[in-house]
Amino acid sequence: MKAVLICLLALFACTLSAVDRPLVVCSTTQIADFARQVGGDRIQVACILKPGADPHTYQSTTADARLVLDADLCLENGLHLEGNNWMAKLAKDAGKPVVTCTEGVALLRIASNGETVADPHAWMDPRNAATYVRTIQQALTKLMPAHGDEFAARTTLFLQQLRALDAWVREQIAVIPVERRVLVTSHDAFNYFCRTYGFEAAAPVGWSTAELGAGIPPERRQAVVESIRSQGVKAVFVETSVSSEILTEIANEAGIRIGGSLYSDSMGAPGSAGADYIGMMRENVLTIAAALR
Amino acid sequence: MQWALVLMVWVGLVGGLALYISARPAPPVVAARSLVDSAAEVTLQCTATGPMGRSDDPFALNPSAPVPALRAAVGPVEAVVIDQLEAGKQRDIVLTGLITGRNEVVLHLAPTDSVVALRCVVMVNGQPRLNRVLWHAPGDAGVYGLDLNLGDDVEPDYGH
Repeated sequence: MKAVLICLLALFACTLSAVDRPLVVCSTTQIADFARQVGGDRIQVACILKPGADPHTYQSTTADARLVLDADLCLENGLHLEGNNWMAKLAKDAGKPVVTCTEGVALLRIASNGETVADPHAWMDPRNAATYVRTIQQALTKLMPAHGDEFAARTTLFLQQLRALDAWVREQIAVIPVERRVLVTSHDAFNYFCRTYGFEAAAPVGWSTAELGAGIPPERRQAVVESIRSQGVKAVFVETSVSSEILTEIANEAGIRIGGSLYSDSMGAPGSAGADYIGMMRENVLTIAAALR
Repeated sequence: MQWALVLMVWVGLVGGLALYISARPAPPVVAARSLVDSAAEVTLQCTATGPMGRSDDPFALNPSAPVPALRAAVGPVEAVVIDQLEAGKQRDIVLTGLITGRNEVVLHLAPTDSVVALRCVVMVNGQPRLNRVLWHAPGDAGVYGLDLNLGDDVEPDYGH
């Protein structure tokens, strides 16, 4: 009888603590990681995309709609990373506030089908990740002003980790000869990374993998093959959240190898080395440096 | 009856603890160490191999607040803030509030784009007492500590 009573009391306490904590629903795995870093145990974080899922092609479900209905705050990447703005639409339908984490980022403009668009993969540069984190800190402080100092302290700590990550990436990249710094990936997700760390980017698919449905233009594919041959690229890289079929074909055609698999639009599963943002970036850089040096 | 016994044990424990806290002897007062003779002149000479200046720090909580090139503090007491460090040009910082014995001089350096070596020489009454080179990595807003031992029987430290 006593044991039952204690169990019930513990359950009641757990329920109370969960009820006390606001629910923050994030669109992508990277944003969910940033929210956890800033909010700590003060918030509950839920992520709509599972590790390995593609935000460009994701179709939201009724379970997502139900989750957002319970949310106190929604966080999205924006810049159309979420195909057809599914996160903003879910939040709007549920009448919940949504914060776009790319606000304030120094955007990179890229050509896409004859027009210029803002590249949404801004988190690939740790300095931009710092902007995401500060935006989330401000949003959480607005949501829970009493815990503002705590969020600021956690943010400062995480920013220091991002600073260390940035310095570490520069050290690792320094061992790759400058002429070999060409990053060929499945889709155009690494432009920010390439700009910051001095790589040239090439990909058979543009900034959105939604293009894959219509098939890639032959001239784009040919341009990538020629780029590989003319620049003496040693290896190309597939991505964990995108089909590797096209890039494997290109690698075979160009007679080069697959250098490894990179985390791009999604982080890794829990327990994997890429399960959080810093781990994901470290894994990517180690893979790139090992294949291109 | 059982509850009363439990209550009595608790009262005894808490009461005993309270009694111990109120009656325990006060900790011994550590005599303050004397400050270094005010007539002694202690100067930190800093020379950087690359230019450093106020710039935005992308990893700061408030990135729009520029970071000074160098901030020096003796322990927690700020000694000086220098906005710009020119390459090869020596900057002298007079250090005050030093005590006889071990002092920690803390240097905060702004993030740089390339590796910068900062030579730090501490002069006591015109004689070098400590000589260190700090290697400041790119992208890093570094915090470095210099151990400065000021005692009559202390040998000069040249970092060898």
